Amino acid sequence: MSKWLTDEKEWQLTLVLVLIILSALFALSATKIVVTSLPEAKYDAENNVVNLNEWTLKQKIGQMVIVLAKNSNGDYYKKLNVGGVFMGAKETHWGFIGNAKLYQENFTVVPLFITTDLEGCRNPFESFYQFPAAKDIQTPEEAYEIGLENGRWLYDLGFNMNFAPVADLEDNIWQCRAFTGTPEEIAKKSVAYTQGLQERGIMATVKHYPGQTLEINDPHRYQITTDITEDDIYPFEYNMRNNVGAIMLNHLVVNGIIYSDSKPTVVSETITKDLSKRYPGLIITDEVHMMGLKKYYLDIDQMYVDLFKAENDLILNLNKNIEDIYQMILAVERAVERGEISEDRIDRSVTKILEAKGITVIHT
Amino acid sequence: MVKVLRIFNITLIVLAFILLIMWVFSGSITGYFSYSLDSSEPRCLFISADGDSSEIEDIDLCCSEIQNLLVCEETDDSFDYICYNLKEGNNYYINSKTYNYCLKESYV
Repeated sequence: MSKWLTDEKEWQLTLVLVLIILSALFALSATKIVVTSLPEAKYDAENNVVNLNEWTLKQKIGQMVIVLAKNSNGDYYKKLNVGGVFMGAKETHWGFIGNAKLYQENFTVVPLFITTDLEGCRNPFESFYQFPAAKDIQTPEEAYEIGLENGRWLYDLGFNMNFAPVADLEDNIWQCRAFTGTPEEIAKKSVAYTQGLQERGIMATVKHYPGQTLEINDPHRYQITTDITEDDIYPFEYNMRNNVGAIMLNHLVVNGIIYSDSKPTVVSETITKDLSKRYPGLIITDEVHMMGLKKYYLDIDQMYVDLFKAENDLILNLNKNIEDIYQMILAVERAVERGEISEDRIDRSVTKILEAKGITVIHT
Repeated sequence: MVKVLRIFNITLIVLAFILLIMWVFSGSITGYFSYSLDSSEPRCLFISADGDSSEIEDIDLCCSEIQNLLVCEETDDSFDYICYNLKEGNNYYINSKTYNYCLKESYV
């Protein structure tokens, strides 16, 4: 009898341990298992055509996200159909070339935006190449030449999009990222830089609309409310009139010449809808995990929904955990399903993104 | 039979323990505990290649910056870590509180 009971307890212990281990394994990798099982997006590479009706809602939402280039996530990014990757520093130019090629050839179906921050003094190439700082650029002609040079450099490394120029009037944090001079001079230098960059096949991103982002040395930690003047937005307006490919929005709550409804600019429908009506380029968020935005929300899913509800085309989410990226996609998918965001609105942005990539979009 | 089962169970216990260790020592968990236990204020000081310095108040902004750098190493001076692409270039000096916050939030 005693022997039998021991035997039974051993079996019970085995069962409990197996359940614990299976639960732990599932908890550690549930999202990855689910993402791996998703279908890949369809893309007619030969004719460079996407039929949007063949994409799932998740695939459309994924196309609106730019993620951190973390190679161990590459296969998941492919399944999520992300629109682009952001590359941090590497030790050599070969590192960038190899990584860009890896992403375009192995970790995506649709061509990706390969992006970075080359802003002169602040850039990921610092360990092997030095660039002049925006603050040291004296004339629009010089800015244009540097734009051409930066564009050639980025193109050769496999990039197609740069999160520059900075068009804020001042930079009180790094003290080197902003151009100097009057708002008109800053506007002309930033547009000249943009033109140089875009002539080399690199999409420029003027940032951080509507300005003052780098003027307050506490732009994100707590919610900052500031008055925006005509001077602040002039360089942005000038860039938009001169075909800058994209504009990046900041997380400040703004009053004055424009009003963000007491919300961070990036989730203000008033601001983003106004921009999307009069500007055909891409509207991009600043990185979405910064305090200025996160502190505004108690529920991160609501933050994700509001970012998509506003007319942002691309969401910059550099969280390295695939779980976070997938959580964002699911939150937005649910918001579309319950009618909080229309699928037409998602389709508009996805169409803009694909067309900016040179892809023909059809709906058949 | 009981003996075989016991050996099997011991193996499972070891496996469960390894999984627990993996979870506890994943960056976000160690960062969470270390951050919670540290009562100091998070600090992040940027010093440019030209020697200009500026305190970055937003820890997330700081984490986002150092996430994209090549090196973060421990240092002996008043800060605990120095992060950079090129030591003679732009440097970010951060204390343990900031570093652990970045770990907790999965930036590094």
